Amino acid sequence: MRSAFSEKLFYGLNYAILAAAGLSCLLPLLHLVSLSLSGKTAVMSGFVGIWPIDATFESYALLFQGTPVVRAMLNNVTITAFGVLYSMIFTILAAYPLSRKVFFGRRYLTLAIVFTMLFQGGLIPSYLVVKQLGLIDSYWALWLPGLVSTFNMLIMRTFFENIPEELDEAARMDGCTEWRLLLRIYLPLSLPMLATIGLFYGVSFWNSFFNVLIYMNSPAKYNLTVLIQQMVQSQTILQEFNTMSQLEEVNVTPEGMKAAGIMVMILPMLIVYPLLQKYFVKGVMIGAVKG
Amino acid sequence: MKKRTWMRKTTAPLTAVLAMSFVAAACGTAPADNASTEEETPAAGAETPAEPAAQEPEKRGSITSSLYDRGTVPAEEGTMDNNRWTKWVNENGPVDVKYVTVPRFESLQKFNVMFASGTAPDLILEFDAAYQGQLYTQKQLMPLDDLIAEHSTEYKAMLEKYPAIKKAATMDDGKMYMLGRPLEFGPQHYLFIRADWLKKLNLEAPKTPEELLEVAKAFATQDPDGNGQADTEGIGLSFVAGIILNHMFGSGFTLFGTDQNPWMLDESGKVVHDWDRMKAALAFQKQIYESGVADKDFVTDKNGEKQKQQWIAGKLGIYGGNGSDVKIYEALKANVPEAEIVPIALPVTEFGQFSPILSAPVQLTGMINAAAKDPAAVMKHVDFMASETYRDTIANGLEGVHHTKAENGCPQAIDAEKNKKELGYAGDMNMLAPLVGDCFGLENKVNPTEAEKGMIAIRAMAREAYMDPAKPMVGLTHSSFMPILPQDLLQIKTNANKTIVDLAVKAIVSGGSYTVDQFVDEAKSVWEKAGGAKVDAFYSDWYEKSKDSALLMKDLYEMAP
Repeated sequence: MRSAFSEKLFYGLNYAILAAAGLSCLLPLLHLVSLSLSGKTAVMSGFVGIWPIDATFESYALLFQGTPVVRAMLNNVTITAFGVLYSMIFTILAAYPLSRKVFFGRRYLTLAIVFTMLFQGGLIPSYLVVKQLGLIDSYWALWLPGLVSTFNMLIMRTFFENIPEELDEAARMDGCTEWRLLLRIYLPLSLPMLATIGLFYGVSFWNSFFNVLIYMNSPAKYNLTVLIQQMVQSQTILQEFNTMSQLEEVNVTPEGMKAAGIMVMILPMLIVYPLLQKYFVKGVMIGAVKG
Repeated sequence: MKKRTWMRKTTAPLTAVLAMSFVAAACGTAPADNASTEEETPAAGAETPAEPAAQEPEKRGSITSSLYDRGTVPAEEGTMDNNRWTKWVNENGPVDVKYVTVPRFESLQKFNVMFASGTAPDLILEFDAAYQGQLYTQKQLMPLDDLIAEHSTEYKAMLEKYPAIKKAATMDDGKMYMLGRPLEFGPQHYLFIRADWLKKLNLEAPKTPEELLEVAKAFATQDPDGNGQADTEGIGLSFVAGIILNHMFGSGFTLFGTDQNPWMLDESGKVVHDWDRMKAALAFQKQIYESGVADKDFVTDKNGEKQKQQWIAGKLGIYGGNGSDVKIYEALKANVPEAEIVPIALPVTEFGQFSPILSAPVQLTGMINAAAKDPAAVMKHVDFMASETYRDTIANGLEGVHHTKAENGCPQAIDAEKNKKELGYAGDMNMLAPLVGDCFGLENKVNPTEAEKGMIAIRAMAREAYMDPAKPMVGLTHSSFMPILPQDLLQIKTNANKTIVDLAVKAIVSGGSYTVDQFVDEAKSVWEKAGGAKVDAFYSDWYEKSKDSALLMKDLYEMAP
């Protein structure tokens, strides 16, 4: 009986703590949703909590009519879709050979690659390289320098290394070539890991901010992150209290519109996460333990 | 069997994906090609619009100019660097202008990268005075005196009309490096009080700090909004309200904002670092805090957002307002229609009577890159930007399309909604336009709304209360015209002030355990240890050396209309 009670207490506490943690994540999101759906006076007066007040889609209407949010969203999709595609292809093409024991000098190559995790060229030299390659104002400036993330590549390599060698031998016995081995055996067996790495890349491309900011010159190529940042930061005008001109006052983005912009930016990732989550957990775990 | 189809399923998308990557490669390279050809267009571009220039013997120049992007250009209007107004500039202006957009709130990073890689535009438009100073110390800017003398007409005329611009734009080597414009010299910070509450509780507008505290107490405890609940706050302490409470005592040190300028003139006209006024101001804020009439968490309300909401909700009696913000007034009126707000003169303290910050009558907004290839062409564009045609067109659009002339000769919008969409984003193109004149400002607006009318009345009262040189602004000059500190001194100032601000907050909130006297002793030692004496000496030397040439407080008041 006593053990049952302590067990109950344990579970009860567990649920309570987890529920509190869950709510603390959910509440800000709900607040944001209701801000984006509330009337502007209610938002300015700070009346809005978890439920919208004077519910209206005005903020969204303003956002979609008054700003290039649709174009920015399409840019995000382009950057993310092709970015993930290229990065996945090249990460696989780097990780697979490095996981082959027969590959001569793979240790040194791996070391050379890991070296780049510790030492980088820095902002200005990177910018100059991108500029010399003629990639300024092209999305290739986002895709190319970050084509293979060393960290992701190492996870992938370790994963490939842990696939039993016997499979490899059996396939070769049947006359399988390297390409076929990779495409037909290794990749299908690595789906959870591929989903995970794809998500890593996807999130980082979706959220890419600084690279877009410095490499993209035409506003038509800005993505959501840069656009929304400008809206959210318009608040700081108020802090430059001595340089503010009347023109700038007019340009402060209304709170509700900011909230709407943030919603538009995070919604796609919110939808993607639960769909990929089952792979995600499994994928990170595998590869962590060496068999 | 099942396994085979599954495998085919996975390979099919993979091949599709590979195929798509080639397509993407094709689309991907296209913009890159564009970019590279665009770089060469200055030469080619000069030929296309050269047809009108064919009548003129002079070859049409071509320049690059920065332009803020705030993400507010509606998609159908194009983009910030290519829209009806940039086209208008290229069709009607004297030179071809290629705009380089810079996101408004990341502008410094973008400029830094462009300067470092040698791709910064010829004309740089940036509000941040500290960054302007930084570019000057890095020798990235072109001295403008000769250029203006030889190539300018409009801008030169503006400089002659407003000599303060030249004073403000001249750096310590005696040359002019910045481009500026005149603004309306008027109220910026307001100490607002709910006049309807005063009437209801039979109180007078406070004239001394003691009265101010009494009124705040009454507001907090006597239920001035009459809802039967003790839910009102007496006075704000954060951000603008906090800044004003310091200015009331003549102290230029503030707990909020980025500028701490505790330097003042003593009786002999020497610059000294003030501690007494600061101490008095803090002691008063401590008193307010301890009497429980202000927000207990004012420290976390760094940008005054919470205070603003309280004010709009009609729950705050005394508030520090920034700028003539019609939106706030309108929202307050929507919540509390009977609300009546009045800006009051700052209470008189033992150090005299002062005024809150007034807006600077001159604003420096432009610079010319030292590496500009054709400075004369840049100057032509600057002249164009300073011209009345340019200012009026960018601000009000085209006559007959966006506005008509009203009876008083000022432009009147034909369709406000249309203008919002087609003109609203263009404001940042007007960064060199003089914002003064008969048709400028809220007061001259044709057909103002109810809220705007209310704000106009408030501004008139604020002018009365704040624009008197007998109750001056605090400090040696407006903070935007303080000289630029060298890097090492700036570091000392920033770091020491950060510690001192933290200590000051501690002094306000810690009751008897940390008194204002303890604070001043500690703050002095922090300042000394950090090497603050050097900063004090810098300001003192600067004042001695340039009290005749620099733009000082008295010059500003002379510019008042």
